[in-house]
Amino acid sequence: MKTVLRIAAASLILTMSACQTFTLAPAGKPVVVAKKLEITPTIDWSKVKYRGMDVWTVDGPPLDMVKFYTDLEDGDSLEMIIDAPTNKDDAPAFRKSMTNLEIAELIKNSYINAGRQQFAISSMKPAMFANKKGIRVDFSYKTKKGLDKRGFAVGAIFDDKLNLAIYTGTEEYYFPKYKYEVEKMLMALEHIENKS
Amino acid sequence: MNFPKHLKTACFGMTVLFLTACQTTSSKEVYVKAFHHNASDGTNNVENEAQAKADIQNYRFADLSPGERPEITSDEAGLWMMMDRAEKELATSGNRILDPELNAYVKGIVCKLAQDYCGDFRVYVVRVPAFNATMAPNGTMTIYSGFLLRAKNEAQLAAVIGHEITHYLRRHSAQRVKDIVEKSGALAFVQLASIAAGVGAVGDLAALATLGSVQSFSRDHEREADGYGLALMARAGYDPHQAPKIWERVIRERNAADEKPPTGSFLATHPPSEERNTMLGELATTVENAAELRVGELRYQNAIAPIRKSLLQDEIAGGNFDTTSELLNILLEDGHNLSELYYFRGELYRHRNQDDDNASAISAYNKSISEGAPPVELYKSLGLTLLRDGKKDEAKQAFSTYLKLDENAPDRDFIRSMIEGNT
Repeated sequence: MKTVLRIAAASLILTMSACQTFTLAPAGKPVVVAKKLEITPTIDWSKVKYRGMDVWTVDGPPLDMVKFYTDLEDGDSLEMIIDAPTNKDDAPAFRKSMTNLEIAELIKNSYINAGRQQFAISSMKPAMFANKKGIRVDFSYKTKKGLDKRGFAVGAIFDDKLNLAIYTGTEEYYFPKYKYEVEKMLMALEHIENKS
Repeated sequence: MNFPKHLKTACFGMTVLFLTACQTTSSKEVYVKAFHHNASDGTNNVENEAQAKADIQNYRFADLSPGERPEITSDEAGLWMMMDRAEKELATSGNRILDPELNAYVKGIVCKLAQDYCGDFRVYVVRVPAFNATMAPNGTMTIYSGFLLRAKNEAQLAAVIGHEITHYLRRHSAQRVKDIVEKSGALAFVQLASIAAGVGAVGDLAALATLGSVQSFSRDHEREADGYGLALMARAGYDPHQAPKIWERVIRERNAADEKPPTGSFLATHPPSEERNTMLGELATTVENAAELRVGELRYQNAIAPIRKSLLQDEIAGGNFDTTSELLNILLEDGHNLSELYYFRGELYRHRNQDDDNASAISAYNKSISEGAPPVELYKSLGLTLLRDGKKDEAKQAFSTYLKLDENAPDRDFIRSMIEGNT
């Protein structure tokens, strides 16, 4: 099984690095994500489109990564990437009737379903996301190989659709290195329809 | 790998001595019956013991002695080396349960069963919500948390550990490799890697023809491990009648599933549970004074109590309503910490959220409360379910109770904001 997982992980890296092209999102220049969210990065990021998601990183997705989930509809699941493919058949699904508290449960169960270990929520607070009332969830987990990761998710439901940004990084060095920059960037994120 | 005939004979003699050392068990008879149990009609077809001994002698390698390592130039040593590498990864993997008391408890049972071989095993308890346990040829034993959740007592845990110890003692992995090499040398390395990883290479189409016999061969190992493991548990003082009972539980859960077990799972690669259940039940009757032997239910439940909630949470996150529901039925029948179990029944309904699931969830939460010791999180879940029903005041009351009971809850700010109506 480990051999299969290694092949899957290698394929993933190849897919992300070879078949998809990373492009630069330079500091200070507004970027539109999924024709919906406008972000102005405070540092230089590399971004790539992967399985319909916008993925941003500075030092590489296994080390630090921001994933943008936009317009998830009723029944959609959160695509998990990196060291284990999501088990789609049993993956927890978004329901448009979910409260923000249930969105936090969706995030937690999606990570557990994707094989993350010892997932723990350290904090859950109300937060604004693109000028909408939403939620912020801070969490930690271990990868299958035992690497400690930390992350936080900020999101809200717009028009019955879930919009979410999740930042994760290695607990040592990378997560704290960019945490403040990601927070600044996401706090300033704007919904394009709301822009006048 | 060839063993001189005199060595085989000597080792067989040692095996008989080892088995007959048990005072309370007709272990030799148990083992022979297990080996010859006929899968197709459920009968034991041993005509006489001498024939059985001859079969055994021709069939298997000699047992390992305590502390023994394979000869360094052998194929088996290569297998060990591969597993040593894999074990290093396992040792640092993220899914290990490191609770020292639980690990000491499980290792203690391993040592009770293995006796002189105790030092040959390293035990890793891993957090995987599936019924499984594995044994690598180098003595690396993994116990899945899903198995710990499903066993009722110490004797059931001992039955599976005894089974896994037998795979090591009888060198089943080395036997499989030998068989594979004899059948198809070209495929040997592919299969070797697969065995080292603990699974059959069932995805390799080119290997399917060979695998047919290899898997069948390994089922003989499984049968042998059941019989021998049962003797080990009886020798350690555990009631062998508990061995088939763990399978009865697994059969119930499997029958509740709408799909077959996934390829590569314990159930897919092991003999049919009904057959195993019947055989173990028959074998248990051959053990003398079995009824006087230990079951250890309370001791076992106390040992897993600190982690049971997290294991049940993993089952809920797995998203399989039917099997988790049946698992909860089984655990409710056992009767340990009913409040916790009714809470998770409520969680199962709340997460599925179909038809009358809200009402079923609230009913289960109320049962949990009436049992006297509901988990604190219940009040948050109850609040969410009541909110779905539009019962805002009752929901606020449940959320308030949650905050009152757990002032340091990580989601306290959010819950407070919900009570105030800001989110």
